[in-house]
Amino acid sequence: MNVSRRIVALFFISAFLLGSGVSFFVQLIFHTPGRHLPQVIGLIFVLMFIAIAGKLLHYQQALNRAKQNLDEAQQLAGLGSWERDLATGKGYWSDNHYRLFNLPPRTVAPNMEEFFMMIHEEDRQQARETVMEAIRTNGSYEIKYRMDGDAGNRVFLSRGKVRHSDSGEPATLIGTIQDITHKHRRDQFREGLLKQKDLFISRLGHDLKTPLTPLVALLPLIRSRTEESRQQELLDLCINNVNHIKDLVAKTLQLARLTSSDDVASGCFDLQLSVSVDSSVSRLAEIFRNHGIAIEHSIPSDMTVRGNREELEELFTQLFSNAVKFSPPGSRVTVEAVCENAVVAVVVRDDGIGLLPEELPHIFDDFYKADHSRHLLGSSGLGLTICRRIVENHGGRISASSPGRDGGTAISFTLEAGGSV
Amino acid sequence: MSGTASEHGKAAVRPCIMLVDDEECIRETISELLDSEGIDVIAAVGANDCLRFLRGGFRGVILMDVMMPGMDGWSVIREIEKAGFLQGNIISMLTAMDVPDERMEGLQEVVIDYITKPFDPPGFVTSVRKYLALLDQLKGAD
Repeated sequence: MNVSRRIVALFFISAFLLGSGVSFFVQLIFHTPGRHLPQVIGLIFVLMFIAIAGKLLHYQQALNRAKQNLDEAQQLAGLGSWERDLATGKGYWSDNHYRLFNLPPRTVAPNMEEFFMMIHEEDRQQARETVMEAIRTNGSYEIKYRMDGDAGNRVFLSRGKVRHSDSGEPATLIGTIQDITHKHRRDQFREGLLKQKDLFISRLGHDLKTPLTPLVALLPLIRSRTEESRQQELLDLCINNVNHIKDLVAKTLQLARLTSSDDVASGCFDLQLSVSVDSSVSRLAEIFRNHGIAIEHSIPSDMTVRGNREELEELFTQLFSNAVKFSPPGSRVTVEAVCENAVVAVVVRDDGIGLLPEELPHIFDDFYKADHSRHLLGSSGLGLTICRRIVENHGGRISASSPGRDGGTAISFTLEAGGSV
Repeated sequence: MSGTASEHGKAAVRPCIMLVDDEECIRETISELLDSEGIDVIAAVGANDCLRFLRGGFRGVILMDVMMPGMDGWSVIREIEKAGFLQGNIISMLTAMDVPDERMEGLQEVVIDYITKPFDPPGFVTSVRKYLALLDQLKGAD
C-alpha cells in the first residue's frame, strides 16, 4: 500500500477510535461508577488514537520531505514533471514545471489548448501533432520546442507516454519537461565544428592531392624517357617516395574522415560477408598474383553482417594489403568467420613475419610501425588504425595475435550479424 | 598540350578529349600524359572556356574537375545542360575525394564515372580509352 493510501486508512481508523474511545470513556465515567474495565478500554482506544495520529503526522512529514526532495532534484536537473487526465482534461504540473515556464504555481495546470498556445508558433503545430499521435496510438513521444515570447529562447525537451485504462483506452498522459538549451547549443556548436572539420579535410585533400598528381603521373613518364642508368636510379628513388607520400596522404585523410563520421548507422545495411571479402580480393588480385600469395576463404554465402559496404571492403583491403606486404611468396592468407549470438567473428590469418608480444598492444595505434623492417616496406603505419576505426564505428572490437617472429599474424574482429538478404 | 575546337578539327586522326580544370599543373600533366598516348587534349580553365569550346562544336569525352573556384564542376554541368550542349558528351569527374560525390546522383546519364587525384597513369589512360570507346559505341548506335 502506498503512503497516501496508508494515510487515508489511518485517518479513518483514528476517527473511529477517537469517536469510540471518547464515547466509552465519557459514558462510563458518568453512568457506571465503580466499573473500571470499560474505562480502561476507552483509555486504550484514546491512546491508540494518539499513537496513530502520531504515525499520521510522521507520514505527512515524510511525504512533505519526499515532495521537497523531488522538487529540489527537479530544480537541480532542470526538469519538471506533469500528468493529465485524458477524460477530464485536468492536469497537474510539478512546481519546477511552473518555474521552468516562468509561471506562478497553480492548483490546476493549464488545459491542453492553453499549453499548446504557450509553445512558439514555429514549433506549435509539430508539438500538437506529436502529442495527439501518441494519444491516438496509445504510445509515447519525445519533442523539442521553444516557448512563445521566451526572452532566453530556451529549448525544452518534452517526453510523454500514455497510460491506458484496464480496457486499453488512453487514460492519462504523463511525462517530463527538461530545459536542454545548453545541450542544444553545445550540439549545434559541435555540429558546426564537425562541418568545419569536414570542409577542412576536403580542402586539405584537394590542396595536397592536386600538387601530388603531376609528380605521381609525370615522374614515371620522365623515367621511361631516360636512358642514363644513374638518372633512372634517382628517378626510381623519387617515384618510391612520391608513392609513399601519396599513400600517407590518402590514409591520413581517410582516417580523418572516419574519425569525423558520427552517423555510421545510417549507411549500414545487411550485407553478405563473402561478397565484401570477394570484392576486396578482386581489388587486390594483381598484387596477390605478383607476390605469389594465395588467399582462401570459406565464408558461407548466407552469412550476413550489418555494415557499410565501402567501409567493410576498405577494412578487408587494408588487412589483405598488410598480409601481402608482410608475408613471403608462396604463403597463403585465410579468412574465417563464425556467427554466434548475433555477432560475427572474423579472423584474417597470414603466414608472414608475425609480431613480438611487446608489439601486439600497439599495432592499432596511429603511425605505429612494429620494427625497422616495416619502415623499409613502405608502410604508412596507418592501415591498422583505419581498420580499428572502421570496426569500432561498426560497434565491434579488433585484436591481433601472433606466436612470435615469423609465426604469422591473426587479426580478429567482430561485427554485428545481419538479417537475411 | 592544349588547343581549341578548331585545332581539334585539324588533328582529326587523333582522338581528342576536353579537360576542364582550373589548376595549370593538372592541365599540363594530363595533356602531357595523354599526348604520349596519342590522345589530344583541349584544356578549359573553367565554365566559360568549356562553354566556348562546346559552342565551337566540341562533342566528346569531358574530364571535369569537381572543386574549382567560382563555379564547381557540378555547376558547370548544369550550365552545359541549360545551354543545351549536354547531348553527345560523356563526362567523367576528376576529384580529390575518395568517394563519389553525392551530387553525382541524378546525373548518371551523362556523368559516367569519376577519377580520383592523384591517379596512377596506366589506370588513368585505360579509363580515358574506355570513355572514348564508349563514345564511339554511342555514336554508332545513333
